[in-house]
Amino acid sequence: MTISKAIVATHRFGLGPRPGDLDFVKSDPQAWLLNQIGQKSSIAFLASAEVLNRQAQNRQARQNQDEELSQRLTRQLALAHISDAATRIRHSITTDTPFAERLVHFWSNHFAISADKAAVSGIGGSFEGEAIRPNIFARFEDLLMASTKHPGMLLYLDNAQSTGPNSRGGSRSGRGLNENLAREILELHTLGVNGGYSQEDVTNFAKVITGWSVATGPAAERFGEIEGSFAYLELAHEPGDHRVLGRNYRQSGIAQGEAVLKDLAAHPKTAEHIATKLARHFISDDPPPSAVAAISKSFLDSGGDLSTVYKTLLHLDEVWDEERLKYRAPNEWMVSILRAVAYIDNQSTGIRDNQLITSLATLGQPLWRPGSPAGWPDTADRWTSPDSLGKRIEWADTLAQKIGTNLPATEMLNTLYGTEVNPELVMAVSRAETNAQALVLVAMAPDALRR
Amino acid sequence: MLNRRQFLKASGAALSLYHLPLGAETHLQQRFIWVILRGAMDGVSALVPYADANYEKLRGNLAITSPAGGNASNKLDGFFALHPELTAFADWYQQDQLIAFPAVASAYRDRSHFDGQNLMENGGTRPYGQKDGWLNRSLQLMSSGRGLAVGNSVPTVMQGDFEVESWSPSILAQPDDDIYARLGDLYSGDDLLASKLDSLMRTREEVMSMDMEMSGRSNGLQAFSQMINAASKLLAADNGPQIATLELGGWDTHSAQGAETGRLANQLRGLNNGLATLKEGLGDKWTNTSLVVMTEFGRTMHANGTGGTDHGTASAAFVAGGAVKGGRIVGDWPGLAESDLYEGRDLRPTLDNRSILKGLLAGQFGLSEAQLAEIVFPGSGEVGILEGLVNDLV
Repeated sequence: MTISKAIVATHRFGLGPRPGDLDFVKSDPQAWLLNQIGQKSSIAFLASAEVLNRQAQNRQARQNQDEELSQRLTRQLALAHISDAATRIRHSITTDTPFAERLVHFWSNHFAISADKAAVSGIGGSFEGEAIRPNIFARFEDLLMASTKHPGMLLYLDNAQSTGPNSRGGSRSGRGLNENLAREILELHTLGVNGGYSQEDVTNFAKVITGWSVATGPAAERFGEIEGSFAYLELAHEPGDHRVLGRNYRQSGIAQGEAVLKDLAAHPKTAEHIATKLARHFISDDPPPSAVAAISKSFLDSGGDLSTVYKTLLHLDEVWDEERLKYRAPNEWMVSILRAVAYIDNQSTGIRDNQLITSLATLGQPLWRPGSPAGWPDTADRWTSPDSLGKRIEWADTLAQKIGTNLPATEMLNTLYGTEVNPELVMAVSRAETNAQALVLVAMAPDALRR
Repeated sequence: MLNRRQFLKASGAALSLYHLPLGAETHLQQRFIWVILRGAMDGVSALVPYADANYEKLRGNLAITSPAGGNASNKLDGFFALHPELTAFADWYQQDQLIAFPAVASAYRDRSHFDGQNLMENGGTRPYGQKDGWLNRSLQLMSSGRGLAVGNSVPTVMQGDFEVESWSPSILAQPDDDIYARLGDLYSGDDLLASKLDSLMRTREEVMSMDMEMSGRSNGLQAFSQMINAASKLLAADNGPQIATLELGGWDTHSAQGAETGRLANQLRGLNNGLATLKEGLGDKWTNTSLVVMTEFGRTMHANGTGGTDHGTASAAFVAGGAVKGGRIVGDWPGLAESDLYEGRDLRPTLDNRSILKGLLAGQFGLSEAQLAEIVFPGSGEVGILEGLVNDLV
């Protein structure tokens, strides 16, 4: 096998090679990727139950006007967020299964929650750790179910308080529906915006998932059916049959919502939507329809078995094209540079947790904070602004100044491309005034910005 | 990639419609700043129809009741008032420098934020129907000009063949000039990177020559104000950009929206303070400025079950600045009776946002009716130009 296929495997499907990776991968790049399917990584994030618990204590402290305790708890949550986020970034930089990690990032972004909403600050790690990581090799239905039941999602898209107007709780309190989660499940998580649903479908689906809430608070504790940090509150559930996408759902309780989610997960529009997103992520901004169709078919034929879908993806001819069509998003780019310089291992000049986190924010992609339930856009026009390019140059320069002469730029070139380096880049590196300057050129070269 | 000349040639019919703008220098001194509120701002909380008999009934705890309760300071007339946090807006209205539009919508009639924002920005007739944005196309039509996206990314409305600049403050150290020159060489065979680097260099040069406050980056509303404080210096320069965009998210108030105080009030305060800072920073250029505040759509008129509002249709829009013939409410009020509501739930649109934008682009930059109807907002022949929004150019 040629080195060029190893370059595609590590750059396009991984998070960029670490020193020695190309040599290791080149004997069978495709097998290296296929072997990562099924390799789940678990990361010790603060559990969502603990986050909810601390949030509840904090509310209590504020009610009791205990400023000091409230501030301490707020600070604890902020620190937990920093620790979780830094752990995630470090894991990306050091993992031996970078394709599996890319899939985690992909699904985390598909089911996006955003820490700019106060109710979910501190919960980003547990959402990824509890809903996404365990399910990326399962069926899409499992992933959808886990995401929808996670407190991160229920709080972020306001379902935790949504109440059926005719439920016991609703008729007593005057509370009612909130259609936010129902709409975004249809639009973003499953069918897609042109998936053929109506406003009535949104409203009815919102009724179906009334009572899907979180396991803290007096109502959940007294009346909830609790599964981990999820609670089903019959008290808030809109009674009766509900019609969604032409089908009548007669189930009672939580089974009604589960039935709708199962049907949505198996819907051809969902297959098409997911296939398009996967192809856009791994192939190009405008992926070939043939690739989308093949992935979509694999999704439908396998009953949404994601491992099967990834295998189909890796067997498409289109994905092995050597031309680099995708512009790396900031997280991918930063991680690929830090992997190439094996910087994290160098404790004498190591990066502190909050520097890692601040770096991503400066580069325009703060972790678990996309600012919208649609997640980060996956096309180049979002990341190629002049300012975005400028921030990368500044960041690369800051890193290069720290490294100084500790890592020759030629070594970084060798890590990234082996013998297949662009001659113009070799020339530019050889002409650089200092090693630090050469490192910036390597990090900012067209081949490093794309994969 | 097309340059301006090729663009005009390529657009065929447009060539004959194209007439040279009025005295170019006059146009170059104009400033058009489009402020995008992402997430769907609740219009009736910003521009409050306090005298509508149905308003408080529909809104319950979300109603802004202080104007009806006798607070005169934020009343615009006998029917509308501004949210109490919009103090600078109120001042501008008194100074005849603000127009408020009560029920504005784009051509979009569904309820997805992302499709709604895309359509509002691409300027066509359907989401993703145009590859570039209407402000970029406007820049292509101007005899010379600059466009600046304030922020780390370039929004859809500014994307296209005209090379716009973008800028946001940085907390990182500034590299030596040499590295930019070397990257320029490295990018010589890469059109995309070469053009982005060119554009970056132009802004960078200016920033380096100014005494820019780089107090850096924080999140949300505070960042908005800090970013504006620095960016207004770029906009105030005589050779500064004519067209600029600002973005502010956080308007998707499905829960705990609040009224005089609370989540939405905090958002409005951030907007108000940011734009007040912008006016200060613009200095004399304020005289030639129109500042346009728009959102992708409005929110439901009934409060939802969780102290908030869901996705709706029409919302309020505002145009402020020294260039604006203000002190007016423009556009019909559709009413809030159940039968008045769009699909029984939303504020019914009475004004197409493109009418407002066409009026400003014609008034400030001399774009013709045909250019506006066919190039800037393709397929908008039926959407008239709202005349008389801006003062005569001097």
